[in-house]
Amino acid sequence: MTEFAIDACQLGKAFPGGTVAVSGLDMQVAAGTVYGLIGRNGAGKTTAIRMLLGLLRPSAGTARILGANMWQAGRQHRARVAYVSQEQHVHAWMTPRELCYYLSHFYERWDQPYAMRLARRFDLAWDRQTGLMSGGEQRKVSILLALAARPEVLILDEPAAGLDPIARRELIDELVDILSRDGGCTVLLSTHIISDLERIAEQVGIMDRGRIMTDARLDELQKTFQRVQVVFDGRLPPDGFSVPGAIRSSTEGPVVTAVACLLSETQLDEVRSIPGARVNVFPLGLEDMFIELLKPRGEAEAVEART
Amino acid sequence: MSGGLGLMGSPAEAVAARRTSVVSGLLWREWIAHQRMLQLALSVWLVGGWVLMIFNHPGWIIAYGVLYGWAAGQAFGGAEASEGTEEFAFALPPTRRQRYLARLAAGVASVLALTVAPLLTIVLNLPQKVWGLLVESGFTDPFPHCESRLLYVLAVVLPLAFFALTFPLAANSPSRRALGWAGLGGWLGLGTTGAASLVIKPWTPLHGYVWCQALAVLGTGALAAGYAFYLRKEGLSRPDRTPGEGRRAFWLFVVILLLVCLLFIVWSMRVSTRVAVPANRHAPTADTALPQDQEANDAARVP
Repeated sequence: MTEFAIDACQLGKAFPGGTVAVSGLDMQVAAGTVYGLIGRNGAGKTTAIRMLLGLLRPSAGTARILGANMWQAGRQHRARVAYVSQEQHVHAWMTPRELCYYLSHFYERWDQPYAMRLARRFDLAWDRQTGLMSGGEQRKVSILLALAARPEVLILDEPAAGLDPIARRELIDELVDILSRDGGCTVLLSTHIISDLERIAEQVGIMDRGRIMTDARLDELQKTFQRVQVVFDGRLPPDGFSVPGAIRSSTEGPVVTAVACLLSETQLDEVRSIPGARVNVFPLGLEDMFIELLKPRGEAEAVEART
Repeated sequence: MSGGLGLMGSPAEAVAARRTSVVSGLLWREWIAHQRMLQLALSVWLVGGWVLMIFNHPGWIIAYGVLYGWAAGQAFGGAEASEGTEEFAFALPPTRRQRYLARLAAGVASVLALTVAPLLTIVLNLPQKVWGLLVESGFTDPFPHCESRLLYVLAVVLPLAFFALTFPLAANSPSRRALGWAGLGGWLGLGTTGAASLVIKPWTPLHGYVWCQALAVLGTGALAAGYAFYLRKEGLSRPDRTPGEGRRAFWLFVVILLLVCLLFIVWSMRVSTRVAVPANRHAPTADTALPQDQEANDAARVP
């Protein structure tokens, strides 16, 4: 049986008051891969991550990192995992130097020279209280602390929020760097900046309403979801025509445009065989895919109605 | 790091060293976080006890210690909730158990240090002895000595009880504002205990040390219950919330505070009337004077 670095099975979380943030979430991340988690605001990404880390107790299902339930895991096991959250506040009265000294007590693999190198690279004042730093600088301190711990599993929840483009690029470069090292670490990256994900993620999970609705390798995902355009020469599409595997489609005169889930090359042969129909297939970027998959139904129906 | 571990010999030794390191890391954080409060408390004692020399009675230490115990309970217990750093702290390797126990140890040690040390200076009359080395003045005349051992014990037990009631409430507070309620809870717990003293008649004939034991049991129970709850606490920095919001919550807070103060005052008066403390053993009243004291006083009056 494969041991996943991150393994969630039927994970669920209901908050008092009846809000169900996560429901029946399954997620498996193999060791050494970068898993990108995307979803709309309120999809349950942060809650799922917090349950994985043992910050929240699941209402249902199991969550394991490196084979252990983090809620119950001991200090040594927890030291193998590092986390940067989207709303994380480090101790405002400590300087980066003090924070590094403090955290070095807990992590066996703490790398102080690397921490100092990162501080220089991120242009952080080593002896300035973090409370006096800007939001972006505080975020950099959090990232520095997580990276210097040399974790086996790194969980980043919106790490680039509040970072300027240069710092964001540096963060991605650092991630690429740590991934390329021997025994590279497993990264779970939740972000809305999909271009970042496209650069480094190998596997992507799209989350909606508390569960993973699509989970595949990025290249497979890009091969599967494509934009299909069917142009009928000089006439309207036949009644009841639809593109095979279409998730959404719209018709404007003789042109039918659809986002389709194409499981095989031959799936469109039937359309190609219609006399006078030309089929064009365009690759779909991850961002377009995300928008098409998660666009509210009402909006799609409005598009249909307009046509 | 592996080289360092290799020097330590067996893996068991390495694990033990790492555990010590975790504890020292947590304690170091407590020191850095609360050093200003500790320095302030220390300064108050040094000024009050050593410069102004007004802390010459255990009653002063009770007042000073209770205030410190109450503040320390909230500060040590709820530091992360008040800073909004719980998510960061809970994601770090130390377990909930280690966090709770390290903070508890640091807090209890500070309360003990700041109550026992002032009491020892009173018992040994250290300030006057030290000042006596420097100046020849009325300052060197010994202060009246308080004979009530109960007050000395209470000067340690009451601050610890306040700490023990406030700490678990603060540690389990989900937000910054809830900390205020935790602080109030400490007073409420002690006030209720005091009120119980007025109701439970069988305790009346017993001497005051029953209160020390009752407070010890109450404090230990509160700390144990707080520990059990803390192990289940979710490490999430929540938005500020109180049991009630707005003006209604404010007035509820004020009413409870007044009630607690009233209970505490009544209880304090009751305790003070139960404990017959001679104000000055060198000047006993006619009713409380021992024969030898009477003779000494008579001798002193002879010109």
